[in-house]
Amino acid sequence: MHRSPAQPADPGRTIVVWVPDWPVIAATTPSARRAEGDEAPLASAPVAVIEKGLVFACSAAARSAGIRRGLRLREAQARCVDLVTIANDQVLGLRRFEPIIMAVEQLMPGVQVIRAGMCAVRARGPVRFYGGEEKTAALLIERLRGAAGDADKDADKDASNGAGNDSRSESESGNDRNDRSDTTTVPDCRVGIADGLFAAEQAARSTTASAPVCIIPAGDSAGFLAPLPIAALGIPSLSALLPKLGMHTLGSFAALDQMQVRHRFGEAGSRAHTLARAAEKTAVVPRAVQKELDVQVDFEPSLDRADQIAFALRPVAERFTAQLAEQHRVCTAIRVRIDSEKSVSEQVWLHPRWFTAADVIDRVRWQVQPNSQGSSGSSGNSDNSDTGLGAVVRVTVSPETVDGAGNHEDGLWSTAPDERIHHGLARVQGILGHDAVLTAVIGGGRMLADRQLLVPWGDRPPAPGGSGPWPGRIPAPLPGSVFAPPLAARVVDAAGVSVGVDERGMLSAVPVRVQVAETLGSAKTLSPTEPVEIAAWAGPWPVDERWWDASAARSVNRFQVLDTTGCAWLLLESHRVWQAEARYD
Amino acid sequence: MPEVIPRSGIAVRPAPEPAPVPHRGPASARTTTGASRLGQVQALQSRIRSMQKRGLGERLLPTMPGLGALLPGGGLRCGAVYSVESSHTLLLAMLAGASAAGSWCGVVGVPDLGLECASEFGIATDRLVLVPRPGEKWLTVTAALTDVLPLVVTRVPTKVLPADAARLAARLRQRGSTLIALGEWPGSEARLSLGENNWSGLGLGHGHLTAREVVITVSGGSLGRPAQGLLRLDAHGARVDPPDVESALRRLEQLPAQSTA
Repeated sequence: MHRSPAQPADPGRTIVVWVPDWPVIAATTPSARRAEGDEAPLASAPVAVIEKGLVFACSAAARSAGIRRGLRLREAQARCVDLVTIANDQVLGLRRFEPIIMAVEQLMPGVQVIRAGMCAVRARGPVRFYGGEEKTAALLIERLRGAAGDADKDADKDASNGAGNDSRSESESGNDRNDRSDTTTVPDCRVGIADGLFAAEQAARSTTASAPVCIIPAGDSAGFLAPLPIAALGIPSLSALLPKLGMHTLGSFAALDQMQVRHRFGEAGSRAHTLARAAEKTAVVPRAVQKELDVQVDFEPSLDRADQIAFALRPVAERFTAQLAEQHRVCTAIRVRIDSEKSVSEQVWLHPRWFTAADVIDRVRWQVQPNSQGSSGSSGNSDNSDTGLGAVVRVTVSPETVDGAGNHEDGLWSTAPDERIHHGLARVQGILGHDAVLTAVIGGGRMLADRQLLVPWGDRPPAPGGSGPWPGRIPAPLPGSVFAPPLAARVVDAAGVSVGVDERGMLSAVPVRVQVAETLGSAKTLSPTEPVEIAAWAGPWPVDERWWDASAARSVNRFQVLDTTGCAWLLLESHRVWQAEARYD
Repeated sequence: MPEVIPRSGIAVRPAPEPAPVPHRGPASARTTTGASRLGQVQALQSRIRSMQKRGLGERLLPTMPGLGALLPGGGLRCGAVYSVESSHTLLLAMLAGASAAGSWCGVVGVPDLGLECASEFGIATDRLVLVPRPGEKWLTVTAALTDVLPLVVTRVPTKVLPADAARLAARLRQRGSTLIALGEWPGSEARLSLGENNWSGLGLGHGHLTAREVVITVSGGSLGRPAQGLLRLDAHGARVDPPDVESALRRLEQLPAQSTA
């Protein structure tokens, strides 16, 4: 490598690659498949991308019809009646720009994305490597415009090999060529090279489609910027004020004394002054490539026992949490994908604090053995095979929600009890399974069992919906026992015939005796397994819910019944079938 | 002179209180002169209680108004076991004060607990940890929860072996957690049960349940005879009163005479 004497390696030299009208291109490119029929009309039709009622960008056809950036939407539509307007989507723009950046990165590393449609590279390395700024710029233009030619292909290949920043490009360049035409090329792109980011950007903007490269020699940037209008700074307050003070160009602004500008316009004005003088010192900050955080383990031969899988997963889970810890991050939700010979199971697990390696293994174990609660213990059980999934061939753990570790550090005071409680409950979850430890949220509904929503410890509680008035719910005092599902019951009249309610809501007879099936055995003294005389009763209170949905519809009559032992019941009747919903005990 | 055994948690108290005097409750708001004296005596008694020296095992969990006075020692003692007979309402009444004061509570093996009733009692359901179906491992799970939660309820599915109970009691004393057993528990501090119900609001084919009065009976422990209180539940909440204010007042009439003698 020899240093080119013509271009001294100035650390401030910057290459800016600009794709004109990028928001229009991003919005009009068909996403996946290229339908020529679709593209042709859009490419020729006047298109404007609108943000907040103003034209944000417009196509060449629209520009020729008099549309300009910053025009009001109504005015733009008046100037060009067949204008196609598209709402601006910055995320889409950035996402579509990603392949372009990757194409640039294949030629030269260290790309900084300035905005969707514009990126910057520090000039020093590429210029030395490709042997001159003109050559570098020409290479970029060729590559991005996709002027398909063998010469280009060879140059591209050489460049990739030589730069050595992507060892795979050699093998992939063939494939790359095929799909390059749709995502990694643009119809037009410009390159500007100058001292500093701002000057390079202005250089790129000063180009035309026929002369797409503008190189400002080192040291000439201030002279190049001088005749540009103040508006080029892109600071609305200055571009309104400075012309009123008689300064219409950057050169006249740059001629002011630096300290006076600082005193009059403050920090922002001082920075604008620095830009106008082309004395910018900001270096290009290459984008950080996100590290792959997913971990994956393949089992060959496949494993069908949860403890084997957990054992094999231990080092992987530790690597997973260690690489997060290296980035000073913690993971509060993971996605576990288990590929078995029969099926694929994928689930997101949340954690009330953050995942440690043992927690990750627990979640995988619970997902492999969904029905392991209570019955299968830690003691040697031979039937530990996961009947739900079959033999597992691959487990993938990927982070779903990642947060900075600083947000989850233990405080010095007052957070300790919660942490202890969490550890204790996690232990119980380890014994019994994830769904065994619950907390409750009172929600909406008419039935008592509907109103109490149980949330497994660590899961996110559902959005509270219980604030409505819910006509038809039971007034206080409320029963201490709620049976879900309801218990079988029987209510008979004096003749011993089951009591029913007709369609008009009339009782067939006065209820006299009640009998409720044995509950879990907790309340033997209160649960009348024998028929008990009824002391007082009220009802029927009809509940007719979700009649529009055949699967969830419920039409029952509610009764409050007080028996002679002093125990009150909340009973449900539907077609002479009685059930006990709750007990006041 | 009875000997006070230090640090064991089984302190032999000089004498049980003569009557279940309400700790503080709405009953004191009655406008008779007797009631104002009742409030005065009650304030003095609570002051005496707070000045009496307590061992480490004598810390009390907060309870709902009036319930603490029924319990031996004047409240829900940390590290003790209480046994509640089969009523979920009584169970929730025991949890109410502590949960409302910010404690976490655990409930093991009670799948049919009325949780909305719990929130009516003032229990914070997001701090109420439920393990509805612990299966065979209920004792392990209960022990694990008592390690971290100050107040744990467990349903006793079968008979508890005295050895298991003693082991868990030692662990409770060490951790300072309180266990409420739903069912029989050997060596419990006190047994609570509900007596006869007095419902109002429900007629023969009309009305709905509006209020309930039920007698709480606390027996066992260092109390000589069972203490009784009246649990009142209505749309405005729950409270515990002395069973009949008249007899309590009559006993209070004699109390100053005894103390001056």
